[in-house]
Parts: sequence; C-alpha cells; structure tokens
Amino acid sequence: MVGMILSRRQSFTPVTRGGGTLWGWLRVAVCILVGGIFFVGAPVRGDDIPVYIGVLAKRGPQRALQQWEPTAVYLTEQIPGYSFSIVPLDFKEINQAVEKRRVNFVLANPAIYVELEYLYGVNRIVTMENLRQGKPYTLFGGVIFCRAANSEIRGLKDLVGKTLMAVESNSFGGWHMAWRELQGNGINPYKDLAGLRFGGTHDAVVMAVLQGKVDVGTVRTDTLERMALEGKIDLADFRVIARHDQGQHNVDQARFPFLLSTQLYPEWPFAKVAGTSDELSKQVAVALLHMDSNHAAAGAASITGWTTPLSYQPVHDCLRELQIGPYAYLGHITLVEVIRQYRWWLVLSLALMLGMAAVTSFVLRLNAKLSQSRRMLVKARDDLELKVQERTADLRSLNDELRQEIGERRQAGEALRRANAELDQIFNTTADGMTLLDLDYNVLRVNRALAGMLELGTRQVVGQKCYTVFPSLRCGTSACPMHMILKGRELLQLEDEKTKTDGTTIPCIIAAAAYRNPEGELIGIVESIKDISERKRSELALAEYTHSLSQSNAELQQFAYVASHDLQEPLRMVASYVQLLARRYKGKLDSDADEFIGYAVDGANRMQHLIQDLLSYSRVQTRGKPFELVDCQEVLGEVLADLQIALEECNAKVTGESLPVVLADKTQIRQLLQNLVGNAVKFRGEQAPLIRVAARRDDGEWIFSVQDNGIGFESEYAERIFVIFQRLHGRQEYPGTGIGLAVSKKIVERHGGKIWVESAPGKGSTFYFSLPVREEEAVGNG
Amino acid sequence: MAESKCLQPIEILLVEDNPADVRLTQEALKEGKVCNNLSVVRDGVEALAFLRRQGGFAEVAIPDIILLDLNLPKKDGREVLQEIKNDPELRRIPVVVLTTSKAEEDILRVYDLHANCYITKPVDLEQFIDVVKSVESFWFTVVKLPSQEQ
Repeated sequence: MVGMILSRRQSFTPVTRGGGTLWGWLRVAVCILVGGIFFVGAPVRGDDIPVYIGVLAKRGPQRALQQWEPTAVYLTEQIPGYSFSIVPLDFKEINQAVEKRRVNFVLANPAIYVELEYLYGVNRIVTMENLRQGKPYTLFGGVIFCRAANSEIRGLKDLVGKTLMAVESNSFGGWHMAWRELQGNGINPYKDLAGLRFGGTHDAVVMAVLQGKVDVGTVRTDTLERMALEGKIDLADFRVIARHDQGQHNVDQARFPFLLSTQLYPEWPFAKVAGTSDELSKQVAVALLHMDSNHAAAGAASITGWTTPLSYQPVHDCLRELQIGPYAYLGHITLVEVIRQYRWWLVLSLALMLGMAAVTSFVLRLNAKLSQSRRMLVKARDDLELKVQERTADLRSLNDELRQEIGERRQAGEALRRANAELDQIFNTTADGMTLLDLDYNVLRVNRALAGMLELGTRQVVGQKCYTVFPSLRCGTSACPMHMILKGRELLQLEDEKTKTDGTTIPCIIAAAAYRNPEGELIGIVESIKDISERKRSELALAEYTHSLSQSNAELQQFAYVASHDLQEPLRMVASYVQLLARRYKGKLDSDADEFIGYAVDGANRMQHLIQDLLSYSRVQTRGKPFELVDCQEVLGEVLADLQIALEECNAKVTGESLPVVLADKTQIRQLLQNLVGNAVKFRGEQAPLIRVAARRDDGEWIFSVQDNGIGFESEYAERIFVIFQRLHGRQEYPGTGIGLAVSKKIVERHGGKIWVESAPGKGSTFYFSLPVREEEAVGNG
Repeated sequence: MAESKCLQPIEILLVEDNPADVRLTQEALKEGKVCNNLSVVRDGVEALAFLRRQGGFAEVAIPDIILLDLNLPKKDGREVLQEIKNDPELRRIPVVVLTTSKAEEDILRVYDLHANCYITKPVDLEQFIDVVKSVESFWFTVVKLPSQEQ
C-alpha cells in the first residue's frame, strides 16, 4: 500500500526500468512485518495463541464485554490452543481495528459488516440468532412510529415537514432501515423533514416520541414490545406507520410477529477478518453453531445461538440505496476510498505506465539514432542540394540558350509566315486571274481574281482539270498553251475566250509560262489570264464609231459632191443668162444696166469658184489616197508642165534640186506644189519671178522650201493667210478665193507635217513645209 | 445666123432636162455655122424611146450625134450611155457628154462607158458658146460621122 502510493506520486521518467517489481516486493515485506509485529505484541495465556474478537459496542465497552465475554470464554473452552478475548470497539475504532488486523474476528451490525466486508474483506462465518420475546429470530427490521394521538400522520408521505428522531446516524436498525423506507417513498429525511435528530439509544427515541419532543421516531423492531413488557410504555400510545401488512413488506406474521415498518434484514454476523486462518475460522464457526441456547454465553448476549450465515444482500441493497458505507462513493468519492477500491487497477495502470515509460525510452533511443541518421541525411541532402544548384545553373543557362533559339526560330517562322501571307495576299489581290497548273492539267492554285472571273469559289476550282473549269476552243488542240509549253515554249501570250459555267464567255489574254522546280525540271505552267471584255467592248465601240465615222464621211463626201453639183447648176444658169442678156441687149440698155450685169455675172463666177474650192478643200481628207512613194522631183516637173503657160508669160524661172522621195499622196503633193509655185508666180513683183524649190533633211523630217522674190507681206499675217478664204489683197488686185494655202496646210497636216512662212514686204516670201521621214522612204533615197 | 448646107442638116439629139440649159444650147448653136436640126428629150427614158423610135417617136430620124447630160431624171445619163453603147443599132452614134461636173471619177466612168468625149459646161456664157461652136466645128466638119456614110 505504501509502496503503491509512493509509486503513484512519482513522475514517470524513463530512468528506473524495473520500478514496479521492486515496489511490489517491498509492499509484501512491510505487510508481513506489520502482521508479525501484531502477532508478537499480543497478550498470551499460557502457550495459547490469543485470538481477538472485535465487537461493536454500541452501548459502551462495559456492556459489550458483559454481553460477549462469556462467548469468548466459551470459544476458548471449545477450541484448544487458542485464547479468545473480546475487544470492544465503537463505530470509529472498528474500521481501523479490522484494517490493521488488530482483531481476528469481528462482530458488528449488518451494515458495519457489509462495509468491513467491502473494505477489508471480512467474511461472515455465522449469523446470530437473536432472542426476542423468548423466540429466536435471525431477521430484524425497523419500526417507524408516532403518537397514536397524532392524527396528522397516517402514512410515510405525511412525514414531510415533521420532526423525526432516530437512534444514531450509523445505526442500521435504528436509522438506516427507516431511512431507506423514507427514501423509497420519495422523502429525503435530510431535506424534507422539519428536523432530524438522533436519540442515541432506542429507548430515548421512544420516550422522545411519547413526550412529544418529536413527531416521529424509528427504532429497531421489538424495541417497543420490550419496553412495553418492561412497563415503560403503553403500546396503545403509539401508532406504527407503514405497517408490514399495509405496505409491500407482507411479512409472515408467524415468522415475524413484531411491529414492522421496513424490510427484514439478517441479524448480526460473526465474521472473520482477512488474514485469520481458515482452520481457526472453521473451528470457531463450528463451536458457535453448536452453542446451546441455554449456555451462559448465549444468555449473556441475549441470543439463542448462531446459525449458518445468511445472505447480507439486503443490507448491501439498503446501503447502496442510501449511498452510505461502502457505497458512499456513490454519493461522494474520497481519494483514499478510490485508491482502496481500485488499488489493483492502479497497480495495473502503474505497470502499464512503467511499461510505456520503457517503450518511450526505447523510442527515444531510436530517436537519438534517427537524429544521427537525419544529420547524416541533412548533410547528404546539402551536398545534393549543392549539386542540384550547379545542375540547375547549367540547365538554366541551357534553357536561356534554348529559349533564345526558339525565339529566333519563332521570329524566322513569323517572318516566313508573313512573307507567305504577303505572297498569298499579292497572289489574291492581283487584278488579273492567275493559276498554277500541273502537267496533268490539274489546277493546283487559283487566285481570287480568276475564281471571281469564273464566278466560282476557289475550292471549286482547285483540284479540277483546267479544261473543265475554264475551257475554251483551244482545249484539246495544238493551240492550247499547255500543249505549246510542253512542246518547248517557255513563254507565250495569246488571245482566247474562256467559257464560264453558265455558258457565257470571257474574252481574255493569256500569258503562260513554264513553271520549273529548283532543279529546273518542268513541273507545271503558270497562267495569267487578263479579262479583256472591256477592251473588246472598247474595240467594238471604236470599230463601230470608226465605221459610223467613215459612213458619215462617205455621206458627207456624197453630200459635198451632190451639193457642189447641184449648187453649180443654178449658178450656171444665173451666170449664163445674165451674160446672154448682156449680149442680146448690149447697147440697147443703158450703161448702168451694163454695170449691173457685170456685177451679177462676176458674182456668179465667184460663187462657182468658191464652191469648187470648198469641194477640193474637203476632198483633201475624203479623197485622200493612201501613201505611196512619191518622187517629189518628178511631181515638181509635172507641176511646172501644168503651169508652163503662166510661167512663160511672166518669164518665171523655177529651180528645184534633189527633192527626195517621200511616202505621200501623190495627187496631193502635186496639188501642194502647184499651189505654192502658183502663188509664187501670182504674187510676183516687178522683176521676173525667181522661184527656188528645195528640201533638206533635219533629224526625222524633210523640210521643203519654196522661195520667191515676189511682193512679200507683213509677217504679222503669217498665220492668217493659212486660214480658209483669208486674203491679203482684193480680188481686183490678185485673183483667187484664198483657199489655196488652206488646202496646202490641210495636205501638209494630213501627211503629219507643218507649214509656215517667212516673209517681208518687198523681199519676197519663203514657204516651208515639213514631211516626217518614214522608214520605207529609205529604199527610194538609197 | 447664116445657114449653110441646110439641105442636109445634122440631126442632133440633145438629152437635157433643164430647159434653161436647152435654151442656152439652142442659142449657142444658132451662132454656129453648121446647119443642124436639134431634137430635145427631157429624160433618159424618152431618150431611149426616141432612139428606138418607140411610142410617139416612130417617125423621127436617127440622130447623127447625141449631146447627153449626165444628171437626168428617171434614167440617169450614165445608164442611157451604157444602153446606147450596148445596143448594136445605136452604138455607132457618137455621144458627146455635156455636163456641169468636172469630177475625175465622172470623167473616167463616162469614158469607161465608151462615150466619145466628155465636155464640162463652162459657167461663163462666152465660153459655153465657144465650146458649142467647137463641138460643131469638130464633130460636124472635121469628123466623119458614120451616119453620113450610109
């Protein structure tokens, strides 16, 4: 016990390994020692071993000895070798004596016994047979009573608020039993009563009730009967509450004739204290059982003897319900009680804890090893860490390089993509259709323009045969561009008409080129297809316009012709008849008439000339003939022949040397020269006209000149004279309508040249005209 | 106008639609020396009818010379010329084309059609009279006309 307490107090350090076992042995040794001391220090009679019987002396030691000494004597007599003696103990001492084993046997009331049994392991060997009213009873109970005159109290329930007196707080028969009944009826005597007192003895309680000091009292059974027999009271003064035949106790009257308010419980037991030998116990039990009722020992104790031990379960029940005695823990637990009760559990837990301590120390040793391993691991890890860092650094730099390369690649890829996209864009933005064909006539690529031209989606065209999607009459013939390129042409351009899916056609110009791979092999053709519908339309329009123009020209020509013809007719009539008049009536009319006639005729004549000049002016273009090689020298000769008479008349001299061969309209050149030379002659001065016709080459043209020594004119009129019908002189001075130079200008301009003049009054004039040199003339001029 | 050889006047057929021109021609002929008989028809159809002595012209004499204007109503002078020269009976008769046009193509065409000569009528009266006189003197005195051979 000491050892247990000690070991419990210690903290659990993993220092003592086998602590549990050591303390156990120590404890046993102490017990033996105590037991030994105890046995050595006892008084002896002769050689007899002394045996002590502890007795509950509820009325004091004297009374106890008086009652029970004879029994001890009896036992001493009955059991040789032992000397029995009584040890009176009161309520306080009895527990300790049993605990300390200062007594070998104990005799107490059932409640105390139960407690001792519980705490110290005393064990009953026989039960008392009590002598009451001349009869033996092994059972007894409690009585709860009041004055008969007290009419308020009928049942236990009426006790609420009343005063009650019991024998003693630890009296089993004199309190506990009644308390149990009260509690069983829901009354807590410590709370529900007006007052709870203890009389000390059974008689005192009875007297207190009788005297009205308390309302209710409780004593053990048979007390009232005894006192009545002793003449101290009159039973009629009292009324028992909760009588046995009223409550649930239903005791057989024959078995128990006394007034009873509680359950019946077994009488006092005679018990052996733990440690007392079984042999001795058996002898004592036998001796007691054999005690005769007439024996002095029995008489002294007021018993009839002893019987086999009864079951003290009812007592257990009672105490448990009241939560007193060994069941006090049910109400409140004291540390000592706990330790006492659960000492074996404590031992076990102690052992467990020690075991755990052992395990813990083992674990801690492992921990130490673990720490060491961990330290090594940490070091290894640090080394690894270092290596890893190095590697990481390497990797990082490699990564950077890689990233850079990827970046460059990506950029290149981007540039490529952009270039591709650009080319693609260009391909698809080009206004002309473009297509790439392979040598099998499959369309590999087609741009948006071509697809749009054909009014198809690019996807509908790619993969098809070219002669399916954009056929023409060239397909299948040697005129097909693919065919020609396969035959060896590198580049070609031709006109074609492609047919769309709806049947309409597109006139176009196709430029096809051989498409080669980097090795130079022919793998396809690229075609550029230009829609020339517009152009065709323009050409058509132009042709129509030209046609209409030529038509209108022809009409005009005809008109001019007819006009001139028809105009001339009436003109001639007028002129002729006026002249006829003149002849017929000459001299017969007055001079005025002659004058009048003269003007009329003159007018008619002029009219005719004008008409003819107009006609010839208009004919420069309409009657213009296609150009041919014209020998100007020859033409000049013809002109001079024509003008021969006029030239001879005025002694004119005309020179013309090395005039070239030009590409021109011969008639018109003749007209031109005739006009210029004729003018030179017409506008001569006093002297004989000297006319020089010449030509010189200047860059890409021939510059002709006709120079005269005639009258000349002011240079401010140099432009005017080329205007139709513009004249610098009156008709009287010089004949002519003023059409000559206009016609000449028209002729020169028709040939693509220019005409101009340099002149001064009295100095003569030089007329120049240019004719552009054409390649074909080279043949003539050698 | 003195008439010589009136016993055998020259038969002249003038095909001219313009009466003014007819009169002029008549006046001009009057000033000539050769005795002639002038017949006038107004258009090409009449001309051919006359030459073939059809219809009202049954009694006419075959002309010795035809003076033909080109611009005639109904049948054009060129057509008449063509028909005359295609007709074996008539093609011997000399045809003098007397017209206002001096267009090159007319001249060529007329000669292509075998006209005997082409004369442009001058505007001037004097010239016109001269021309007629020339025709007279040339064709009637110088030239041997086939009809006279008959």
